[in-house]
Amino acid sequence: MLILCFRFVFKRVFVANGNFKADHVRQTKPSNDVWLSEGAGMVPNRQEYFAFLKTAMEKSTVSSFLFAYVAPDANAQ
Amino acid sequence: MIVPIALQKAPCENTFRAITNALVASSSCDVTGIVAIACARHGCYAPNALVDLFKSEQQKNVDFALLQSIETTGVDPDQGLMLIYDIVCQYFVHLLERIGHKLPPDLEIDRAIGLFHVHAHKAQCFFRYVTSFIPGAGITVGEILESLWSGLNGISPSTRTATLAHRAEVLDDHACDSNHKKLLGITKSLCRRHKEASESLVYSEQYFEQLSQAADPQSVQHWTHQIEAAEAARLATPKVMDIYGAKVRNSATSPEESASASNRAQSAIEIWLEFALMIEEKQYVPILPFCKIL
Repeated sequence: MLILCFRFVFKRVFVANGNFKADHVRQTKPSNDVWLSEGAGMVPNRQEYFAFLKTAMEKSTVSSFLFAYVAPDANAQ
Repeated sequence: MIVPIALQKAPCENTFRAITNALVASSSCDVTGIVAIACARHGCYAPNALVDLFKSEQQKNVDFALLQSIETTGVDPDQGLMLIYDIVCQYFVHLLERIGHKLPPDLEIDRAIGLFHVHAHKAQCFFRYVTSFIPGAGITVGEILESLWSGLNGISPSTRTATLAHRAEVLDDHACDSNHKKLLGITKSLCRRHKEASESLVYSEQYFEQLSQAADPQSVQHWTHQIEAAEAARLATPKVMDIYGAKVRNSATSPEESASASNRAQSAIEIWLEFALMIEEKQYVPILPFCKIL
């Protein structure tokens, strides 16, 4: 009962944000790199991530302003 | 594979760089950026939730980061979860349709917008999603990642031309180091924050009491009921929070007044002043609000 009263104390509060400075330039000669600590830290396992992206449902919510110039592009695909 | 894009009008019609960027693919970069999820209370990165972006900030990238962070930080459905994201008003619309089946059952997800970003939204988003009006959210700015980015930006340009594996590991190391430093400093920080909170609680209570005394007790009771009702219903219908907004009556000058004013003969000084104001208006360049702090 006490836990229910103070439930907000236990609430997990996450912040999500993007960073566009941490980009990566396409390499002209792809190397056969080996990931040493994949998925062990903050960066997720690549295979899991790519598998998710492949099957991910995409339903972009865009504003009515964007609608005008996004629509022709979507049709072109 | 052709991915159907369902375009739906979002409750907030403002455009954000996060969204416009999402539609631009870069030819020179194979990774256009990163998205991370961090704890708003402690400022630690959530494990496995620092994901690469390939076509800028798409919702599916954030979806994955969210799912991973829920799993790795062991969120219990009884705890509840709140996501603070700069475009949450639009991101949240189809969240359950996209990843509802992958979320833990019965997990209640609350949503909010950070205090910096919310001002780039429509006015109604302020009342609906600002952390200040959410019971239990505390005094949370919800922009901890901006300060974490500022630390990471010191090294991320050096990984721009590294191999993908090296880049991932350098970013990983620095994010882990940041978490480690947070862990070392948390005791001191919490002690300081606790002192600050205790002091400001006394001040806030006094202020609130004075304010309540100045108002009519019946009105205070009425407002309390209104706010409590809105807070109870806000998760299902964020619209109810609009009662926080002031109802401004359109107090334009009445037609007779303006008519008489325009008919009156103007002196030379009045004409000159009006002309100067007009010039000033023409020169005024509105400062566009930043919707994404890089």
